[in-house]
Amino acid sequence: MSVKSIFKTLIGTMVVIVLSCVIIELLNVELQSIQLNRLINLSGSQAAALFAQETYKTDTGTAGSSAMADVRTAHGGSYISGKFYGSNTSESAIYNSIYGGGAFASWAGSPDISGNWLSVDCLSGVKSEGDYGRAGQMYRNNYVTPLNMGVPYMDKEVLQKMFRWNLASLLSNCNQEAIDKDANGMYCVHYNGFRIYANQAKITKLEYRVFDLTNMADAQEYYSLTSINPKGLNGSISTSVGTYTPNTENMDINSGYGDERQYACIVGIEYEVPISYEGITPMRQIFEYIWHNEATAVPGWTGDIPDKGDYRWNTSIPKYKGGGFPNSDNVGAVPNSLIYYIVR
Amino acid sequence: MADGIKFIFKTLLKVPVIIFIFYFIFNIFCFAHTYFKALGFSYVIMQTAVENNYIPSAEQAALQDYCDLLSSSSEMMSSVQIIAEGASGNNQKQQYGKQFTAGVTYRYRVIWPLMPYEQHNNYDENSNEYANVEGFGGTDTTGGFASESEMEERLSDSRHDISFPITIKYTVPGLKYYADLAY
Repeated sequence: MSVKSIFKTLIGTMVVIVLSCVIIELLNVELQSIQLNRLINLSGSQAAALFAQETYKTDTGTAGSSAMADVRTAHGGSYISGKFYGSNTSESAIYNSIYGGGAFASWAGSPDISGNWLSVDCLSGVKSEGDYGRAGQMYRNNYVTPLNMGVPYMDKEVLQKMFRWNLASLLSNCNQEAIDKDANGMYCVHYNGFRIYANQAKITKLEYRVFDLTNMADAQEYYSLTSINPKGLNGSISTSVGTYTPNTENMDINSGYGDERQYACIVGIEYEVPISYEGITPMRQIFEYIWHNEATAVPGWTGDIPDKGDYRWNTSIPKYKGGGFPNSDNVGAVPNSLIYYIVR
Repeated sequence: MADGIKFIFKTLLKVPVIIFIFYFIFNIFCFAHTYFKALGFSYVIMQTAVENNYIPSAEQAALQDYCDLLSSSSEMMSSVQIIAEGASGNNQKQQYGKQFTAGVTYRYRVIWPLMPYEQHNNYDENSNEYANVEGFGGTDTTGGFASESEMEERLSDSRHDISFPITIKYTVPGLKYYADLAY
């Protein structure tokens, strides 16, 4: 075998290995990224459904859905807490922490929300004179929420805790061994070549949009988002999209409010999940080994050590959208959104 | 003349090798095709389990229909079954956060041709020889080619049916809260 053929074989072998790795990685990214995106979305929508079910009203105390077991790391430590409502365990404490704070008052008093639903305005205290004030107090005494009135109000902090818990449990396949440290010492969920920093996932924005279903443009947009025909909310079956006809029996003439079903609210939930790709083939490890052991450590003929270069594969995005995740290299925050709504 | 004989022998060797390579590539392609089909299907089953904490009967019936379709429409896939096991080992409704194992299992069958002597009516599966082929001046005792159904039967017997089980499953938490279930 000639020297030429030896080199040909060596180079050919390397090319075949590298190309095979690239093809495998590309296939993996193509397949898993779709699945990953869907699972993250599923975690978010199930978190919204769980929040809307107000499970703290039945599962009080230190067990149940309001105090789930923590998601743990491979080393046994807590990765994500299962206490969605923090240290609050009783129905009244949880209710007051969500609906007694400034965030709820600010939401209820915003121009988009106030003035649309008499029941919500009474509950929040926006309408408090006379009987309306007494009705509001009665609602609060009985832990009534806007969700009970068909208006989806979400507490960002609680929703985020549920989202993170769902995400970590789902992506780790309920296996704590899948939650381990990355090269920077940060815990993440290892999922088919991806690293998902579920404990840093964020609900970045809750956007409430109110639709007047008696308005044709709003009715059409509502239909495009939810596939619910406002015309059919009256019980009339129609193939074409139409507006809602208010029911006079549902109106409170004295208050000046219309039919409560005239307005529908949809909450848009925007979230970001820090994700990094490390691959499933050993290609990266091979290159890193070569770089560390050859390019930076082996002295040349004259005894000089070559320049070290930037061998950290540094493609970090320190100020990525949403503030970035400064402690982790090669991590990008992947944004997405979903909607949640209640049909009255 | 010597080159001509060499060429004949080369060709004689090449033909079975080429057939072997083509069947090998064909099987790789078929395996990938069926595997990705099963992967997508297992993902649908898993998602159903996550959304309901179990596989509800209506969904299970629809998924089972697809299992039957996969089993009947493909020569490579058989015995396609849904995996649905909750904490109790059964497909039962359970509470939020409880583990559920969902996925799909099937047998992949390798496609391989019958040898020429196996395609004849008088094929003796114990001898595996060309004894019945008409030779120079001899008589044809092969009995002619076997019918298509007979050859299919031979392909399915224990000597030719090379199949192995493949299981794709996920252990996931149920993410739906049921007010009627206790923890």
